[in-house]
Amino acid sequence: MSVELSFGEKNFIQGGIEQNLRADGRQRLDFRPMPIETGVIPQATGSARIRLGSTDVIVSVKAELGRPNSHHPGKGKVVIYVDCSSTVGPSFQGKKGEELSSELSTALQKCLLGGSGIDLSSLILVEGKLCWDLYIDGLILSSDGNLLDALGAAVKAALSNSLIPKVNILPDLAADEEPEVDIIDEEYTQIDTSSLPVIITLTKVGKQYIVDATLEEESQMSSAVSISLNRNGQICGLIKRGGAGLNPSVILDMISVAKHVSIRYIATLDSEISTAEASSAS
Amino acid sequence: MEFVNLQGIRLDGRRPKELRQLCAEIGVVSKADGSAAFEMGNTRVIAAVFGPRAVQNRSQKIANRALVRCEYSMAKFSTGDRVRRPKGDRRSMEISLVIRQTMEACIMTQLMPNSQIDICLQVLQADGGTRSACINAATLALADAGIPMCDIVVSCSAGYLNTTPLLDLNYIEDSGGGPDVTVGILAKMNKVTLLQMDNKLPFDTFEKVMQLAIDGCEAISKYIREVLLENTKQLEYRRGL
Amino acid sequence: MEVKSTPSQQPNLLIDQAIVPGDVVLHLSNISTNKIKLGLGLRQDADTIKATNMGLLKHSRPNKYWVESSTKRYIPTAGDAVLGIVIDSKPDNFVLDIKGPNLAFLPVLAFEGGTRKNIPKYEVGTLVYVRVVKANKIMNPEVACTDANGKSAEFGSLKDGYMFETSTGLSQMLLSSPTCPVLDALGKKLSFELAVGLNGRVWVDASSPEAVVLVSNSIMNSEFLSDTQQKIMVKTLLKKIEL
Repeated sequence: MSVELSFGEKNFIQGGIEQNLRADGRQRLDFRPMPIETGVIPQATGSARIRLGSTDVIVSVKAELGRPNSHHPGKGKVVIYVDCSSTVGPSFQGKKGEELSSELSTALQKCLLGGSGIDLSSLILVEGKLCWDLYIDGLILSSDGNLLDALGAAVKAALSNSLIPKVNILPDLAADEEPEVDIIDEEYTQIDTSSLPVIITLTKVGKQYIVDATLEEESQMSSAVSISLNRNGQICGLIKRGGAGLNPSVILDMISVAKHVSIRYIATLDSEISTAEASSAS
Repeated sequence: MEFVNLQGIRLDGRRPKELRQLCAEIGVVSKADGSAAFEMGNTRVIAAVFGPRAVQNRSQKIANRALVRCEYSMAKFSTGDRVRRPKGDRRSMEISLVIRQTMEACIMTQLMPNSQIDICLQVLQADGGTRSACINAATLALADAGIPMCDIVVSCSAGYLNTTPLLDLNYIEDSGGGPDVTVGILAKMNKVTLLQMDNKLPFDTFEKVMQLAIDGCEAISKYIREVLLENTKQLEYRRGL
Repeated sequence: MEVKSTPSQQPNLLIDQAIVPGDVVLHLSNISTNKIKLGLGLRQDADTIKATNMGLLKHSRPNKYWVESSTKRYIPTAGDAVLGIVIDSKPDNFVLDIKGPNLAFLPVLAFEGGTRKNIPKYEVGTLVYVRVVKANKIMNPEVACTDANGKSAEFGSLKDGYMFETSTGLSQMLLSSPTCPVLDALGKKLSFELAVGLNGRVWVDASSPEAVVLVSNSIMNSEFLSDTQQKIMVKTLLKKIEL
């Protein structure tokens, strides 16, 4: 909140990171435990809730029938929008949270959709006429740092949880007629999320970088680089935040660290998602 | 449309004078000073309370009592169709105001002059009765934050459809066009602090519907009381006091 | 509803029981003593005493009643030792955040042997261990860096170390006697400095950062654990550090 950290704490956090020991006992490249719940919003196509310490986010996916963009007649649309609830803190009341919301929305859009993470052509029903629009809405309930990574993971979990209804398209369609569809009950297709990248944010404090920074640690950062990586170790997006400039070689080093971390991270995320799916199904 | 069938069962399988399933949890937002989640059937809200703390905006300072602020917002995914309204539209403003006035009636604001209390309400799922659910959640969150209150406020709604008074309307019943009476009461003192009704209703029916809503409030207050007592007991048990 | 009638028969029946705001705790007509003292969480309404906070009703002889609860914010009470953070300094006062409804004032002369010439230099962000001197609802609370005898005692600014925020209930538990099991178990193995503020702030310092992290995490974890669970938790954490 508004109260600043005291000098002792600042020194402690910075010194601890230098010695590979953080205030909650983690090492620099450790994530906090990441419990996932899926199917938390029954009226959505798919949804997930992720907690990272006190960070708490919900992401819902809603599939609606829409018209493809005339420039891309063979592709469906995906829109990501993040909202910052006022429960995060009074400083996010009213329109004050909008800056953060739009920053995160754009970052997610860049990191997740940039590298063809979702196969947009699989969302098409009638070329140029009808497609599924996926509306991905994130809501931040509580923030203790590392929002972008948490949201990225929640989007992945929510998409894996999504069941898109199968449709029957009525044939004999005149060229300028609107297609008519029947939604088939109880038959669904799943969205392929295996190529969806994960986002790993490396926060630079002093000379070192850490993953999954808490709010306290983020207040001490000089800069942060969010890297989105897919299963094959390809970089799908990159965003640098924070004021201080970085040496290009440092950025390359950060990317290789992120690549290394991502292998373990993707595995944890996958197993968390499958446990969540198993428990929500039962 | 038939909202109550011949056997006296409503669309969601309830009897006319039956509440939806209640579920409450305290302390869901760890960064807040007090917080609670409250569910009434498919309506689900989260309340977070911040304060009492020094007033942030000096011009809003009140010398003889605390400033209470309240914000109600609906998540984009809270309704069947996506909410496309921006944050802070008229409807949310009105509900924020109603909730603020209701909560101010029970908070002992005169004990904390020059300070500020923020109540933030987030609707996760809206299925009718969000106003009531928010008030109930706010009461729990305020109690969790340790803010002095003269009593607990609870709220419930009742409506009148197919010539039957119905308790705790869900979304379909709410949009059925009948009157909807929302009541907020101070549970122990037995005083009404919030009363809203749209649509017309003959006087004697209104009395019946309002009484039904008050009965609903009493049932909810019993539940909220249990949740609060349970919360205190948990603390006591764990401490081994 | 049943609560309304019971205390009238046995006035002390509710002692040590959980209560919620609005509960009638006492009827004045039933009390033999003509004077009672009400603490936090109780108020008088006509001839009844009602609760304003949830928690446990406590009574100490002969006539004191209060509600014990655990919250994240703090209501200042004279005599409490608290941890404040300097957020501003004025010519006459340092302005401190003590998690209360209002900011607290620390007069620049409220130090042992304090004169205009030796005002300490507290910058914004300094953590200070202070004692609440004046607390009422109308004025900002006043704190001092001296004990009741004007000695500096242990009060003053806390350098280095790590401060974390918990609840007032946990602070009370840490300060209670006999020493609470978590501190007892930690103290046997490690040496560390601890300052507990009744406003729910705890400051820890030790020679090694590992020890600080261990102590602070053990304390934070202990809030909802029973005595034995606390001991086991500390033991497992200590084992980790040895590896």
